[in-house]
Formats: sequence, structure tokens, C-alpha cells
Amino acid sequence: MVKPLELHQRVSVDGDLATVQYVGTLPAWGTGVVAYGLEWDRPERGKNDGRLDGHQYFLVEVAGSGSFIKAASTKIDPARHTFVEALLHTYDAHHEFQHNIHFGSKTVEGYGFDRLNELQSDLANVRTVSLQRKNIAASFGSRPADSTTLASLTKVDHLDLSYNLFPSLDPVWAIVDRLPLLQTLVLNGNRFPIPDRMSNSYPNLVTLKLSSTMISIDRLNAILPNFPSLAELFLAGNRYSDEDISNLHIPSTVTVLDLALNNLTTVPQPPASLESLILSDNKIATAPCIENKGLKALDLGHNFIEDWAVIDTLSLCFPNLRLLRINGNYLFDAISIDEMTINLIARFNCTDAKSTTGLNKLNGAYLTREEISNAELFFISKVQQHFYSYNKDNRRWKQLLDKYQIQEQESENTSPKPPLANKKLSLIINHSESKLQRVFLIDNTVLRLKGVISKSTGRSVLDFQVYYYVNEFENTTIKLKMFLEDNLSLLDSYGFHQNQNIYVC
Amino acid sequence: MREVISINVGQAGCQIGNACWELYSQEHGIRPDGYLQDGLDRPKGGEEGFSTFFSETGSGKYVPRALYVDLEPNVIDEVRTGAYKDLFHPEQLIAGKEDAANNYARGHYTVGREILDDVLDRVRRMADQCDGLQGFLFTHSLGGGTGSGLGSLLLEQLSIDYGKKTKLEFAVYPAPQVSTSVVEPYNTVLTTHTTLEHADCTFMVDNEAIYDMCRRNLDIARPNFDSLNSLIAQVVSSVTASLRFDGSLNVDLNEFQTNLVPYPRIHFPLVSYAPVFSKARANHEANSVAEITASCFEPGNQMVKCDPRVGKYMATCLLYRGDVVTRDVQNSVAHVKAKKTVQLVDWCPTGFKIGICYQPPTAIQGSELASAKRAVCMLSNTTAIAEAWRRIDRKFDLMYSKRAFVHWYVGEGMEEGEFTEAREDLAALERDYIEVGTDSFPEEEEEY
Repeated sequence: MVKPLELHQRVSVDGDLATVQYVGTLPAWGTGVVAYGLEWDRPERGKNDGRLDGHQYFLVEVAGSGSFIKAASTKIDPARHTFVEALLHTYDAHHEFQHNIHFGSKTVEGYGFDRLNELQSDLANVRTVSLQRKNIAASFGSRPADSTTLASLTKVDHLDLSYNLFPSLDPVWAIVDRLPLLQTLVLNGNRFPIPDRMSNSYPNLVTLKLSSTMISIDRLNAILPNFPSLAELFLAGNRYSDEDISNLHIPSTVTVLDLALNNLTTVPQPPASLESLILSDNKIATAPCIENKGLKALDLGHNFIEDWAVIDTLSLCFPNLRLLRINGNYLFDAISIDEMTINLIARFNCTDAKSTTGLNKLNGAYLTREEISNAELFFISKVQQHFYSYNKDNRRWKQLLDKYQIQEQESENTSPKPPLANKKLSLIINHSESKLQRVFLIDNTVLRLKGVISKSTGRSVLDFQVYYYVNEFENTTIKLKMFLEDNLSLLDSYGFHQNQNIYVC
Repeated sequence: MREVISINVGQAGCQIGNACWELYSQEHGIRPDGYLQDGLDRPKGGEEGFSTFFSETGSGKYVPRALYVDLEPNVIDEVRTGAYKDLFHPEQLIAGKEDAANNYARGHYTVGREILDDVLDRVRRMADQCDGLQGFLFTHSLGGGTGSGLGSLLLEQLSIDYGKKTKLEFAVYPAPQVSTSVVEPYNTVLTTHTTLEHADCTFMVDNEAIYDMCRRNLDIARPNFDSLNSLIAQVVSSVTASLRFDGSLNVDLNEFQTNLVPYPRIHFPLVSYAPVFSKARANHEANSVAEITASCFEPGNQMVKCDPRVGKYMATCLLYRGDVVTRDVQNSVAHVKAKKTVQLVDWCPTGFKIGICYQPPTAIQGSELASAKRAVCMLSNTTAIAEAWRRIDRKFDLMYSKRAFVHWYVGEGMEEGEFTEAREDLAALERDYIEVGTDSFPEEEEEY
């Protein structure tokens, strides 16, 4: 007889984890059938909002993440272990490698397992304990042997209890209490619906992973002070909002903070002690400008940034970044990877792999010196030609110009014209009685002008001469005639006005 | 003592060699200057395994049993000035003055010949230091001039000088994404033809596959050679882990071939590695034994682009590292078995082997690849890898039908006949793969 589940217990159904939010009957199944209302960890697994035939049985956090299941369903995994049971089962020294798996005509052979078993047979040798998806719901039973087992785990420094069925954090603390050297605790994918009472402090714990646990900020603020040496905190996939993070009290010992896969819309203000901040796969589109000189690594990949101004703000606010990831934002969708890289290199103060200051790893790859100078020079010329818009008051711009000793161009043409328009010259060619208007480029030669005339009149270039009046547009009676004799000189050198008359004789 | 001498030839070979030795040193607890890390009284991972790759000097310094050879000085100069400059003895770094200009003929006949005696001399001296030399581990590219030309020349010479010693090869297969020259198909075909009977087992690493892994799994926007090489190094390290650490499968180089090579010519196992995750992703991926085992059978984790679902497996080795328990491995393998896509040929004498090495993998400093508590490397001899040869042969034919670029090779004293000979050899290799893929007894007809 399977023990019936209680409210807020955790359950595994076909490998998917859920929390029991309702125990009772449903009209659809009649009074004799016990039904569980489940809130699934993976919302896509759900069917409704805990509402059936107009009656709200329980509330869910994410719409559509609830469903009902018969208590007698065989899909519900009845197994429920204590930590000690799972440990003994998994790290079982007496479990010989069985040579009874066949692939076609071949037997699977195992090598090195005797040594492994020998090593693991003494739990005192085990340094890493990984018990993922083992349906663990409690710490240990009441048997005295359990205590002995736990007591023998003296060397464990890494404990991974991801995706188990703990109803609360209390059993976890009970286990951690027995592991004096524990440095890394991984609790990803557990939910702790029942509040816990944490009492002890764990001075050796350095890394705490609480990704996709949906643990509340209040709860975190309560437990974090009990880890005085905590350096790395992982809180990915917990649906945190901007407000949640601003309420989070990050201990000053923490240097690495992972907030990936949350619902942030702006870059949070990291405490000065933080060195590495992971914010990938959020909804970040803005960044407030508050200088932070401590941050060395920033991951903003796959966010919603749409504006170069945000990137320039980041460049200003985090002057000591060594490592940046920002690919996969909306801004880069329309441009090539090379163009993205050039822009990013120029906008941040980049250095090559060997340097000890400056950004040297961009989007996962180290930069080389040639790459940087190519990109920076390209960027400067593009900005000066007004192809890229860049705020030249930025101190980075000054830095770039100084680096290559490039003079700032006089910005006379504040409204940038397309460069070609400045080079066009329209001339009116007068031949006999006919007039012909043609557009030339100012760097065309006189010969080209004559060639055009030759083509329209049918006369050889050598048979005619071309002149114009220097003061045509001035209001004088004397006209100064000027022949165009030097065939190789440029039209630019004559100081033509637009629509100047050219005469053929 | 079962020593292995690593020989890295050409730019790609030397760069991968660099990444590998950096990783090996970290895994065994050796500092960049060759001395033990503080707090260690002996190298990590067992004395015996360790001494296959490192030799100890009188002063307590450890020196890699490695040789760097390149025809031009740039890459070797990087080693000489890099962070690991003190790890190597200057004699181990051999650089010429004139490069092979992406030309197999220059590496194999003209420029390469000049340096050959010098290299063989150094190999001899290194071999003399060994009590019981097992064999050689070659790292080179197939597409470049030095790697293909000089690499195959060295292999030929070594098989004359050290007849019975095993020669394993890590060969970088060219890819258009990170290509440096148009003649890569020529070099590849020529070098493959020359080394086919000299190398005992060749692990191919397709730059295109690695490039895709960097982009997709590691989320690197623009992978460069550093990104590719550090991933390759991790894979090479996994393959050699069984040689370097005690207590695992294939403690002997010979066993590699016995397990994986049913016929001398069919010696190109497909290598897969899992997990390949970026650091940001790794924090929320579970990476259980079952998951990494399953990923090994997915094309996205293979070092060569080909589809093993259309081919048949002749032999498979799964090499686990790190925190793994027997029960999990057994369950995972049973899971794989349930997949219908994994087909083994019925006739082949070699089998399905699983090895374990409880030293966890180490992450290279600065690499995007996250350090994992456990990893698995699969070596499988599958007929699907013939796809890689078909691809390169097609490119070869395209150029050779018009005799494009052939004059560069003829100009260095090569005969055109060598091209046709090499191409025919590769065609034969393709046919060999088709042949081994067919079942020994035809399926019984349902009706007559």
C-alpha cells in the first residue's frame, strides 16, 4: 500500500516533478476517488490553473501549470528515499559490473570498475556525492546505522542533490550538518514548499547553487547570513523581477552571482565586491549609469538590448571589465557578427589576451592586437564619415583618437550629407544653338568633359575648343573668357559653379 | 614504464600541442615551470601513468616527452616566449626558417627533407631516455603544408626506424570556415595516402564540427583558433587520460588498436565528447551520467561531421572520467541500447567496451568550456566516417579535373602521378568502408 501524499509534498510523475497543492475529490471522478491537484515545475506539463468546472481548487504561480491526477495513478512514482538510502544504493561497492548487456552479438565489457568499487567501498574516500533525480525526500531514517553512514562521509566537499523531492530545506540542513568539509552545495530543481528553520552556520560552504528552485527573496535573505564564506551564488531560472533583486541582500563575500534566465528588465546594481555577474537570457533592455569599478566579468547574452547607447553606458559604468558576453541581443539581429564585433571592440577599452587590464575576452573569444587596432581604426573612420552614430563627448572617443593620434575633424557639416552629393557638378554645355545639361563628378578630368561633348556632337576631341566665363555669375559687363586647355586637369580645379555654362567652338 | 612520445608538427599541431600540455600539466599538478605545485609531494594521478607522458630530471623538474616541429619559427617562438616556456627543453622545439607555404610537396620533399635528420636525431635521443617506449602520438593538420607534408614524412621514417611501435595520430581535418588555403583538399588526400599504412590509429578532428560546437554549445560569437584548440585539447586529454592515469581502460597503446581497428586500413575512429557547455549554461544543466552518455551518440557532440545513424558501429569505447558510479553507467548503457539508431555490425570481432578513470576533467584556464564533475569520451569505429572522405575527395576532384594549382607541387619536384595514385587509394578506402558496412550473411528472403 502506497502511503497517500499530503499537501505540499513533492512528487515525481513520469520523471516530471510537481508539488501537491490539493488533496480531495473531484465531481468528475466521483466521491470514491482521491485526486491530487499538482502544480508542475515545468509549466508546459500542466493543463489548467487549478480550476475545474468553474471551481478553483488551488492557485498556481504560472498560468497553465496545474492539473489533476488520480491518487491511484501508476504514473506517480511511489519511491521515496532518504538521503542515506540513496547514497548506499548508488555508491554501492558490492554492485559488480554486470556483463549481461548485449548489443547484437556483442557483450558490453567494463574496465576499471573494480578499482572504482574498491575506492568507493569506503565512504570515507568519497569526495563528491552526486544524487540527482533519486526521489530523495528526507535526510535519514531512525536506524543507528544511518548515523554511522553519515558520520563516515568525512571528506565530502561537493554535494549535488538536484531534482529531488525535499518538501523543505530542513532535511538538507540536517545532511549538511554532518558534512564538515562541504564547500559546494547544489540544490538545483528542488522546490521547498514548506518553510524551514535554519539554525546552524556553515563557515566552509563556498558555492551554493539554487537555480530553478523559485526560492523566495525573503527566504534567501534569511539563510544567506548563515554562510559567512559564501563566494559563489547561483540563482538562475527563479523568475526574479527587478524589484526582487533590489531587495536581495547579497553578502559582501560573494564574488560570483548568476541571475540568468530570470525576468530582469534592467541591469541591477551589483555590490562593489562582486566580480562576476551573469545576466544572460533575461529581458534586459536598459542599463542605469552608476559606476562600478569592481566588476570584471559580465554576461548579458541573449537579452533585449536594442540601442547602442545602452552599450556605451555599460562601457562607461564598468571600466574594469575583463570579460564580456553580449551576443544574441536584438541590436545585433540586423548586422553581421563581424560588424557587431568591430563595434563592441571599439566601444569598450579592449586589450589582447596577455594584457592584465582592459577587456580581453569578448563573446567567448580572446582578442588579438591586430583585431583590436583594425576594428578601432575602422570604427573611427566610419564615425567620422557619419556611417556610425557615436556620441563624441564620450571619453572613449577621445581615448580612441589619442591612441592613433587622429585629429578630430571640424564638424562643420552637422547635418551629414551623403558624401556623393558633395561631389556632383552640373554643367550646361552650349554647342551651336543647342544646350545640354550633364552631371559630372568634380574629380572628372577635362578630357572626360570633352569626351562627352565629342559623343553628343560627333566631332573629334581635337577639332574643338571649350571655354567658359569665369565671372558668369557676377554682375559685370566685362566677361572673362577662360579656355579649358589642360586635358588632364580636374574639373574641381576650375572653381565651377553649379549649372555653369560651358561653350564649344 | 610504458612511455609515449608526443610529436606536434606544423602550426595546428604545435598550437594544439600547447593547449594539450597546458591541460596535462594542470591535471597532474605541474606548474608552468615544470615543478610540482605547492603542497604536492608527487604528481597527481598515479606515478606509472604520469611517467608515460612526463620524464623527471634530477632536480625534481618534470619535462614533457614532447617534440615541437615546424618549418617556420612563428608558432614555436610563441612557445619559447609563452607562459609554459620553462616547461620545455630548448632541444624539444625545432623550427626551420622557411615555411611550407601550404604546399604538401614543400613539406614532404624540399624544405621538409632538410630538417628531417635533425628531427629524427632528437626523437632518437628522446627514445633513448625511455625504458620501454610504447609508441608515438602525432598531432598535425591534414590541410596545411608542414602538418601534411612533414608530418607524413616523419611517420614514414618512424615506421622504418621504430617498426613495431604504435603510432597514434590526431589529425585536424580541414574546414571552409577556418580555412587558410584553397589547396587543403590536395594536401589532405596526399597525406592520407602516405600515412594510411604507417599510422595505426587516426583520430580525426574536423574543424567544422569543432567550430559548430563552439558556436552552438559554447555560445562563442566568433570562434578563433584559440577557442577551437582548447576544445580539441580537452578531447585529446580525454582520449589520453586512459594512458596517463592509472586504473582505466586501454592502459596500453596497443589495446587502442586492438579494440578499435578491425582492419589495418579502417583505423579512423569517430570521437565524441560530452558535456560541452559554456560556463553560464553549465550552472543549470544537470549533466548526469545518463545525459552525457546519450549526448555522445548525438551528431552535435561529434568531432567529425557525419551521421552515425546511417552507418554501422564496428566497435565502441566509452571512456568515463570523474564522479561516476557503476550503477549509473550500467543503466545509461542499457538506455543507449534501447535506441534503435545505434546499430552494430554483426561480424566484427571487436566490441563494446566501457572504461572509467576517476580523475575528473580539468578546465583549461580561460577556456569557455565549463569544468564538469564528470565527462565521457566515446571512440567508435563507425562506417559513417567515410562521409568525411567522400567530402574531401569531391573537392579534390573538382580542382584536379582542371589540374588547378598542380604546378605548385610539380615545381617542388613532385610527380603528377602521385596525385592520381593518392586519389585512387582514397577511392579504395571509401569502397573498404562500404564493404565492412555490409552484413556478412545476407538477410533471408521472405519469398522466392
